[in-house]
Amino acid sequence: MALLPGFKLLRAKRDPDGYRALVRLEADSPLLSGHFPGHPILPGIAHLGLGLYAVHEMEGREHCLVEVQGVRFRRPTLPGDLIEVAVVRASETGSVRFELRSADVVLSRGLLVVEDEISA
Amino acid sequence: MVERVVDWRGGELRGVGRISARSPFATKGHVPGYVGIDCLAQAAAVLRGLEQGLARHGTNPELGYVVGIRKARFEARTLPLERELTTHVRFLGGAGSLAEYEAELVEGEKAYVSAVLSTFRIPGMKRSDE
Repeated sequence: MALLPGFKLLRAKRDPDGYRALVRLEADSPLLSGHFPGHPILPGIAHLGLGLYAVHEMEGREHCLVEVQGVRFRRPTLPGDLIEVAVVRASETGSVRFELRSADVVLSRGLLVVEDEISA
Repeated sequence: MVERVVDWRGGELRGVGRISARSPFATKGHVPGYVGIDCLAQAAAVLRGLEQGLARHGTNPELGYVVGIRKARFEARTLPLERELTTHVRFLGGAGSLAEYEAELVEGEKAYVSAVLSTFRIPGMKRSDE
């Protein structure tokens, strides 16, 4: 699974229980197109996409999202933002906690339920 | 993604639209199921605009964005491109700039995505292309 377009991966670390990466949202990211004209803000679905990418990197195989139990978006994510993406397993049944931060400020966090792409 | 409103009454709206093949999320002829959340958010924005009478008065609406998602279910791991999809959204309640909506995305009888969205309207912030 590739990183979403318009992000640059700066560093990444995988450990037995999670995955953490630092990415930069490029100013010319196509994800910002039309969202919104004159006020570019990263769409919420891109936060989910980053979380799913991190799950893939943590597990070493493709996963799909089957549920969002809850996600809060706390601060708009803007062009040029350096974003730390972190995921940790919350259960053995596919729940994963994810969090996006920029300069120690939480951008979003939530609980996802994922499923192995093969069994989906 | 919401191109046409087909029904609007009492805090509910049904709209139809397509996911463009040019979506930045598109790969291998489809997009991930979670992209459907954007369809739901757009429908909620259209409903809010209509409820405020913006369509009648031609006012440039204030921008808003999704601040929360809960109870989201993705019944399919991918969504088709360039096919007519229907979004149904219902206003649940709100206070000030905050509002909550229940919404689903379907194609005929097939359900793709359902969720409860919380939105925040940004006072005074409007699109700059009008």
